[in-house]
Amino acid sequence: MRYLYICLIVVIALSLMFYDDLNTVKFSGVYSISNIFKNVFPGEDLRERVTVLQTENESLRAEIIGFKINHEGEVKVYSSYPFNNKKDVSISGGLNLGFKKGDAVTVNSKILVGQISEVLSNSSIVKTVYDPDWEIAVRIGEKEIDGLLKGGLSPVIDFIKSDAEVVAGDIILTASPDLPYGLEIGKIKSVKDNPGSPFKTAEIEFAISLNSLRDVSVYR
Amino acid sequence: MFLFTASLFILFLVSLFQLTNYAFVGPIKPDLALVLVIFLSFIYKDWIKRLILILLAAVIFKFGVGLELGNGLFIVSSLMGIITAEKLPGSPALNFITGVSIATLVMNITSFHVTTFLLELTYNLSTLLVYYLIYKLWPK
Repeated sequence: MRYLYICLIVVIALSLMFYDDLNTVKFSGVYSISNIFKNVFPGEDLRERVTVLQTENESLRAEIIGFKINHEGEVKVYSSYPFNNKKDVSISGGLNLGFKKGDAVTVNSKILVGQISEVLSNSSIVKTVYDPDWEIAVRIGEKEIDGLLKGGLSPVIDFIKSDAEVVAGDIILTASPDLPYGLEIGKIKSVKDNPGSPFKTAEIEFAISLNSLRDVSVYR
Repeated sequence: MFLFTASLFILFLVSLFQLTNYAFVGPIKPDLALVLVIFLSFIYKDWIKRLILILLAAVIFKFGVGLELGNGLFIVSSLMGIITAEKLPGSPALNFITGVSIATLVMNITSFHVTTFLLELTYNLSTLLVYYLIYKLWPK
């Protein structure tokens, strides 16, 4: 029996190192489990629908401002990173759909979710705006004020000029060279002046919620 | 053997559940599988069985290509948690609470944020309590 256990350990350890292609199968399984939960807890479905409506509302708002960008078809969100030190999600498309590292991932082609960080044969890993390491240049509001967004659990925008007119509710848009210009990221929640500093800081609220993310589109 | 196979299956399901978006409590995911592995070390004193449990969860959590830091941290934190829970001289309950706390700390060591850590620790200790209650309810 002991030899059987040791063999099992060796097999699992080898899988841990080499089984990357099975990731897609696993992610599909996780997606099926999510669907089971959706059916078991109908209230969750209702909550999800409310969030979808809120997201649609946000994307319509972005469209009104006039930032229309071409987009490709939608793919499913399979699963999310199991630990809290990263905020990655896996999506149901990879090399088979021609995705590349660095491609922008959005909701309804208007709201930024993140960027593809790894491409597998049939799935991809997306680093989301919720990731603590996420940093990109952004523009705030219709006056397009510059700032630097830092992601994480309490996301902020730094380096906003102290004399810039930024108020709560202003929409934040991407202005990074490696992303399409004008994708919505979220809204300003509050602005904090830093006495003696030429810059101020703003707390922000993301337009998407990771818990309710189901379909995304990818720019190629 | 049956009990261990059942434990493997439960750990498999819990680990898959932790990969879904339903595992989020607000912006944080509790370490359901990590706490389960530490808790199961209370039942299985054999290190080979403990290693199988840890590695199984680590394989399910593998998210990207190649060896990942997250997987390594999970294995190290599980081992630290189990060793702490086993070797401390206090009462088992206190030892397991300390074990889970240390394991949570190790999981957060690469990107430490006080709020995230405290929330995660609260959820993990609550999860430990839930596992303990289920274990107590189980007919022996």
